[in-house]
Amino acid sequence: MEDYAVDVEDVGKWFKAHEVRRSGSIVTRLMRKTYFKRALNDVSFRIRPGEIVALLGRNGSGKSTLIKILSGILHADSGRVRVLGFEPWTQRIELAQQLGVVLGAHGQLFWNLPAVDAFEYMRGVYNIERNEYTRRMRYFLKILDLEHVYNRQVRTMSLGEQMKCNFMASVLHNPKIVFLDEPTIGVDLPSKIALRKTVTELQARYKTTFILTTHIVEDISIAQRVILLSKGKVVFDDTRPKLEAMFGDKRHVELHVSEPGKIRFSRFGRVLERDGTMVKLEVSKSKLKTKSFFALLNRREVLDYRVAEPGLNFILNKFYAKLDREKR
Amino acid sequence: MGVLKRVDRYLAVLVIGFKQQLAYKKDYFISLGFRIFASFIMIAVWTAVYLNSNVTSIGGFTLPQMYIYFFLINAIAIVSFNVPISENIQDDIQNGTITTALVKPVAYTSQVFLNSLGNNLFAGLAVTLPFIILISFIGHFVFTLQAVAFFLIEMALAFIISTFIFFLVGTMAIYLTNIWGIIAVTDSLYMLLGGGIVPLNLLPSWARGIFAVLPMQLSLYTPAATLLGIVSTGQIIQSLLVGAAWAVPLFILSAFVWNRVRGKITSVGG
Repeated sequence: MEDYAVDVEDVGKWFKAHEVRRSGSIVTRLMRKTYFKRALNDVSFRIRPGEIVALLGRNGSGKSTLIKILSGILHADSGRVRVLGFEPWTQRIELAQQLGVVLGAHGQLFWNLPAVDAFEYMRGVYNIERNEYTRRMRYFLKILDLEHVYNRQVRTMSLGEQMKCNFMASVLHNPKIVFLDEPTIGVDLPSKIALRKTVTELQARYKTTFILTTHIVEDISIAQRVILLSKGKVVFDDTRPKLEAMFGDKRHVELHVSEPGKIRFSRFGRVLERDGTMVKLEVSKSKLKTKSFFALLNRREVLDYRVAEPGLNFILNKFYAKLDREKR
Repeated sequence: MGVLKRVDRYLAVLVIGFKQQLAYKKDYFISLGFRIFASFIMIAVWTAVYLNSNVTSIGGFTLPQMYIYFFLINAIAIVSFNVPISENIQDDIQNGTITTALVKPVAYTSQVFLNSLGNNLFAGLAVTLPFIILISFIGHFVFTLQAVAFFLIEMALAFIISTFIFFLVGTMAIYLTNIWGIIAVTDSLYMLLGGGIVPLNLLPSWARGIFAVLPMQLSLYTPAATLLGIVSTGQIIQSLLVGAAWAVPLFILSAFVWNRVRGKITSVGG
């Protein structure tokens, strides 16, 4: 019996890429230089059933390639992959029955047909029993607030409605594992909240495993674990609080000052932002408690201040910057 | 997996292909208009030929029969060889929608085939059938039951052959991404070799010999000629046998090519 929902070991993937030459004779310019680009480099990790994992990384870090390998769309060039015990690219159909994939805003929907036609299509394709289908339809339409929408043509829906219908179509067959690729991109706040709520509910109810790739920090908040990819390599794999704690000794201090020119802020920490009378500083936790810092806050020119923990966005940026420095 | 479950799955793909066409009703009326227009081009050409050659019959066709022939050819083409498979595969590759198709528990090839079957069934019922009935009224034709039965078998086999041919053309999109030119050339060749420009019985015997062993005539000339009653049962059966002989290797070739190119799908990667 397979213990892990996803088991990835030393996975590598190369892509053939072409480069146009911009110097030399006309003939050499016309000839493209072909080379192999390494998209994934010995990637290893394991995910237990029922985990919600955020797969993060900058553009081109290999996230989408990895998701496509896990769903059986692409095959790995080296290493071993098991998803629910199946090798995705050789046992694609068997895996697909228990897999949900959300790619883009309306991938599962039919542009000129009402969303309900796509749901009916899913019922047939995934052999969902009629009563079970009706029950799930009721549940999802309610939780995603789609009761007044699902009978409308997809092209007349808002992006948020399309996204929610697309998500619904992808999870209607109650898959054991779901890959979400940017599930809330361009979606309004209520829809984002509804989508996140549904993910956490499905995980709690059915122990559904979720892997989500996103650039939206609030989406990451539902993940218990973060896997960070950079240039096709896993550079971080631990809990979300651990990631947040990596740069946890810093605090952000936002000062509103009447005469900013009078104070040399760099004495107290790194100046992150200046906007008119607002100055944002990155200050170490220990520095916050020093007399000199108290003196700064008590100065006549300082009208107001706010101390906050750095957000996940900031932490990720720091992490990426650190990776860049290490590479150099 | 049970057979019934499998049938349910395939039926779902077929139905959605049908429904998608139903959503494009306007497109169908426009396509009908174009089909009629295409018939008039050939009619104008052949009228000129008849009027300038001072004969009443060419290859057994009178001028009104020639008109009927080209109307029929264009009505038949919508179902027998106008399969949208190459375009669909090209779109799937270009827009990356192939990823959505590849995560379904139905083989991509089955999805492509059934979707196009749904498409063409709709086209057959919405365009070809009314068109043929209209032609039969205008031309005062009474089709025999045998002719209709042969016609339906020919159309089914022609659809299968065209599906494989256009599937093979479509797989080229995996390497070339844009295959509009190849699709256009294949379409034109189909029209020429299938008797869509010149009725095949007008050709010299050596050319007829070559065309008779090709699968294209089953898509256009044979079904039209069957309805018009200008081919013998023997010729029809021969044409069906040639078609069946093509269908088997085309199926094997399609399966072989798909297995080879499947791993090459990288346009969706990155």
